[in-house]
Amino acid sequence: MRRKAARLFLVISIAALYVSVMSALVQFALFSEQMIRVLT
Amino acid sequence: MGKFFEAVPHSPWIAGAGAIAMVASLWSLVQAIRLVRRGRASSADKRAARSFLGVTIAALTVVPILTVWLTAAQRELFRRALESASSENPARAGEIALILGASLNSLPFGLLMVWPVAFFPAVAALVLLVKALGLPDEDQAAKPVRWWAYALASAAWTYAGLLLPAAAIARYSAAIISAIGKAMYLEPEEKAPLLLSAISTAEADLFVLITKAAITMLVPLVAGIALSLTVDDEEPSDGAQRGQPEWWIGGLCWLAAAVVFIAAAPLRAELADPVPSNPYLEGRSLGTPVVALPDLQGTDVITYGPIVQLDTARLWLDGRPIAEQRLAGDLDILRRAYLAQFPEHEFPGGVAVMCDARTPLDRLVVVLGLARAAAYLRFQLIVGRERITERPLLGKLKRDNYAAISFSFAADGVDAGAGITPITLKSLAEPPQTCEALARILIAERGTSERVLIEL
Repeated sequence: MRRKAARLFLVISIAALYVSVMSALVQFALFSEQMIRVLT
Repeated sequence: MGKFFEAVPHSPWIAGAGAIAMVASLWSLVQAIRLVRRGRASSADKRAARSFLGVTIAALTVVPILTVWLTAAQRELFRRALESASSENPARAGEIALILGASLNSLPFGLLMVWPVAFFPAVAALVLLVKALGLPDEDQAAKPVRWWAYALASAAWTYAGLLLPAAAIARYSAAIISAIGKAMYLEPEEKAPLLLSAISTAEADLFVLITKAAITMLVPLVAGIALSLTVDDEEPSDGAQRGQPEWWIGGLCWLAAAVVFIAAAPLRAELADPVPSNPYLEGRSLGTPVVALPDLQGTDVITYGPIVQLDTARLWLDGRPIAEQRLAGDLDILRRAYLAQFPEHEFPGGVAVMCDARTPLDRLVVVLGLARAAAYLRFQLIVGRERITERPLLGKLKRDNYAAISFSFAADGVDAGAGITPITLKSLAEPPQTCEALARILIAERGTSERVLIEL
């Protein structure tokens, strides 16, 4: 049971990390696009 | 290197995340080699395989961020060098544009070195996970589902982790190389704009492809989760079972997620308040500045033909530099060209005069006199002023804003209309000193009527 819980926790943690990194990536891409628009 | 770090906001955060990702992927590579050398998969191997599968997924997602960051940092350095050179010496700016375009092109090679660090351990992790699960040789009952999960994950990883980034890098590189090739044959002051626009297009392409790659990586993530949930939990037989190593890895993931979320806060603030587009630049493609100065109400839309631009020393006619003594002659040529082209029309006799709002009025009066000598009697005065807006991340942005006001000379051929009295500039109680002051007077005098006449 503890092993199952640990595994679920790991899986959810990886998913959370993935989602936050992805959202930061998208934000950064949008920001870069704005920056390019301002600079050129 | 110091300049590189200060060029882009939050560089230490991003560089730190990149370093952690690289270390994590190297660690997973070492783990993979160790497991392969040990041969038979144990229960501890399964745990290890699952753990570094997660770590490598995290490492793979950081690489696209590093890509974007490197590009943004290089571009910022590029912009600074151009900014410092272009005002004094356009030829030098052209040189710098070429050199920096070439250096931007070195970015793909750096990426080619970085990418496998995350990619190969990830593939090794998948292979090992399959080995640890006893696939595809053993466990016949579970084979089809797990085998398909493995195949899907591998295919997605190859596509998103290797093919898409390789395509993105190749396209980026090709676009910049071709722009450099074109720029080499241009005039010095034309090089920088061409390269800048080529680079921004190539970057937009790169962002799209890399974001696509990162989203496609969701497939192996889901497949990895599915595989990890279907692992059998038999009791350890080799005594390797020590606690639950997944707990601290999960904790690290949450910590990293929190750090990423906090580090992205300034980006969210910047995006919540979008940069206003520059209607002057957009209007310029139509030949008409369309922005009004915010504190100058009641201005006009530009309608007239030739645009004379002036500063304290120079003159431009429709964008090309012209000597003062040639202005009247060239305007006359334009007038005759108009009459030849549209013989049935009456010559409108309008000219737009564009200048900085602070330009001394004496300078404007000279140009107006020259235009009058060429039979142009209707004017639009377009005054521009630099506005500075403060942005959360982008800092201070300079924007040129323009406002237009129409007026005519009180002279033969322009009818004074229903009792409109011409303004005589010299006889005003407070004669205007700058073009902006004149624009204000014209707006005030015009009131509700459509016309305003002046006399120099």
